[in-house]
Amino acid sequence: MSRVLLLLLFAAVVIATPVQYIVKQKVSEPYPGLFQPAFGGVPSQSGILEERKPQIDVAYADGSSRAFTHQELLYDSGVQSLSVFNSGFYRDKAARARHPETTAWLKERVEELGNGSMAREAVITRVNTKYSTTGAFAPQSQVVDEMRVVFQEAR
Amino acid sequence: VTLAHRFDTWVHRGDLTFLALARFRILYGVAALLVLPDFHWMSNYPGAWFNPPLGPMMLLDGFPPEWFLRALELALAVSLVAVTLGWRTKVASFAVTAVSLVGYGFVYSLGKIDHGILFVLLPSLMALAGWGERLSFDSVRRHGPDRAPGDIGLLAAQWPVRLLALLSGLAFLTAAVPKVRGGWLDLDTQAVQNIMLSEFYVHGKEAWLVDLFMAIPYPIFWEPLDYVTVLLEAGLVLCVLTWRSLRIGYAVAATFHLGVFLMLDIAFFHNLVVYAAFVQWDRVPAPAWLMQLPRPSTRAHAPLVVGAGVVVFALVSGLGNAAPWASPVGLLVGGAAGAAYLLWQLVEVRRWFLNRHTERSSDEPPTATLSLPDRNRRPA
Repeated sequence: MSRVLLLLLFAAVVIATPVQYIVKQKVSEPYPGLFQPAFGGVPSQSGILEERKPQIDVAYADGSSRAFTHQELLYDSGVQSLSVFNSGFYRDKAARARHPETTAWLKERVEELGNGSMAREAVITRVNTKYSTTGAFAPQSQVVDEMRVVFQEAR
Repeated sequence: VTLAHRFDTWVHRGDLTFLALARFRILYGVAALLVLPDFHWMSNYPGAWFNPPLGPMMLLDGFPPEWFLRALELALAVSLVAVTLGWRTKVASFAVTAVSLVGYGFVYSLGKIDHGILFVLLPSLMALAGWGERLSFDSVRRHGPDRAPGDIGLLAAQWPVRLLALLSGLAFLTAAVPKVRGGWLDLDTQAVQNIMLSEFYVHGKEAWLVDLFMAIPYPIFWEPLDYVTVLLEAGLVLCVLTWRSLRIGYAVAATFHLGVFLMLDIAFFHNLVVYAAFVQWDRVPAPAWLMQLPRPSTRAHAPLVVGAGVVVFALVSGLGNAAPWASPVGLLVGGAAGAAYLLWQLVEVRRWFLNRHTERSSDEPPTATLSLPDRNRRPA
């Protein structure tokens, strides 16, 4: 490869890196993009850590009920299951969660997990839990929001 | 001397031989096959969840059917076997990059982008450097199985490896900037400690040495770790200037990744494989029989490569990949190798100081200023 081409190639890489970084800050992270995991913020500065996780309570037509975590609900994959769940159910003002395809998928999945029992409805709650890293208090949980999916209506 | 001339000298200077890259190619191929990803799982999700990241994936409407995703997996497995054996190495290397970019593009369309881009780009760059020129079916086809002993010291193209190093350094810089902006350098925040606590309490991760580190509450221990992390991530891009600084920088990074794994249970296995591209593998002692491989007598290379790829694909589809054990083992070996390299550098520096002191204390005028081996010189 000629000197000029190489120079241009290396210069392009150096220039493109801050550009894509600005795009990530202003719009969203591009793919493909040259990034490494940021871990930008500091999770806690006061000895208190918070997590927000979903819980899925399913009522079956035979009267039984079961509770699932998001990990149980989602298929084993190579990416963080909480990110996938949040993207599917909560991003864009939960538009994806209310999509008929999501409802159909959720019904099929909870019936699969319920050994074939017909599912009547699912309630997805997000629970915020506070932990003390100094042991000052026991974990404290609080329901943040709740989403009810009635399957009969979706059929 | 013009700037262009300096760039020219810098970009082409190096000590990586075809043999070194060939050995690394086999290492990369085996490592990539051990952690072969599966893409087909996303076909289980509703099409409404398709949320492509900013970029070419936005041109698509939704997830492809399962057969297409499985075909991608098979193509990746076959391409990686071809890279490992050195069959049509250049085409196979580009195929690994292309198939991986597409496959991961679909994975990341579920709302989470992981950052294994260096591992994905690497095969294409190494193909341009000539990692298929030795220990490969290609070289046997071109030159025959016998090779003159002096040939093994032939230098590969250095600029693609320089470019990989630059890409890697810049990628780390993108991780350093948010840390600085997020308060990592504030003396009142101990970010590494808090991430460890978060991984333990919130994400339920129990790293191997988490109990040991949880027992250390002192900011004077944790704050330097914040600074070291930011300095390392910001400084790797400067290490690209010389091969020595590059190797020292990435030896520190390899040790750092081992520390992250032991403390936080976060495994950056793919990065460690990328750093191995900068190692002079031709200097690592290897049994004579390994130097002779492959010595194929058959002309049926294509069925062999495709057949092996299908077997790997079937094994991973049925049993899952080997990441659960390959990743920790790779991190332990890579971290230990990085630490050993740093120790060796310290010994070399000490030797240099001692030599210098001896020369100064003698009556004779000094004849040598530096006895450190020049990594940029072509090996004999």
